[in-house]
Amino acid sequence: MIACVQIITLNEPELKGTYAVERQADGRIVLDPVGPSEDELIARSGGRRLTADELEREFGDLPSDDEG
Amino acid sequence: MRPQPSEDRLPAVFDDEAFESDAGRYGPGSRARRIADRARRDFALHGVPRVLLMACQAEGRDGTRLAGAYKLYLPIGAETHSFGMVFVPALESGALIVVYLAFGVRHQPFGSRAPTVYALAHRRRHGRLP
Repeated sequence: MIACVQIITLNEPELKGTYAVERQADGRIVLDPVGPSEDELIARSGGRRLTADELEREFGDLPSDDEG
Repeated sequence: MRPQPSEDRLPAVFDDEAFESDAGRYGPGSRARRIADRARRDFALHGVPRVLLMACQAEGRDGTRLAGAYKLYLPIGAETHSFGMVFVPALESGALIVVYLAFGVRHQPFGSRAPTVYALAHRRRHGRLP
């Protein structure tokens, strides 16, 4: 199991970005690039989230499976 | 220029930083990278086919919580679909769009600890892996 310890932002020119600090099963610590959050992505798109009613109206008929 | 929404396809918005964080996990020229790049090109140009979208689970058995997010399996048209892409809908100037949330493997290969596309999407939403 990978445990995410913290989300950090680095400003070094070659490493600039957001990273998850993850502790591997063998004890190693790795930095995994995360990129922007969902909220940031929606904001960058210029749009806004749909309300629950709007989601149901637009996508309520879509199928699902048990995968994720 | 974005494609216009239609009955069949939804305009898709890709953020370079988010896409590269995911697709960049795979080597240049790798099958995964080619699949990701091709899907992005196609969806950015023509939109995402509604018929391919499925609802993500509010509470997945893998611990992911992705209510209101939608996925499709890649590569399109192949016999097996090892990869997935997750989107979240948004309204932009009254028009329905889908915003790219994550790309990656649907299942971890045996022995791999690489996060699945669902885990990556979950982390974008909740700030940590499930």
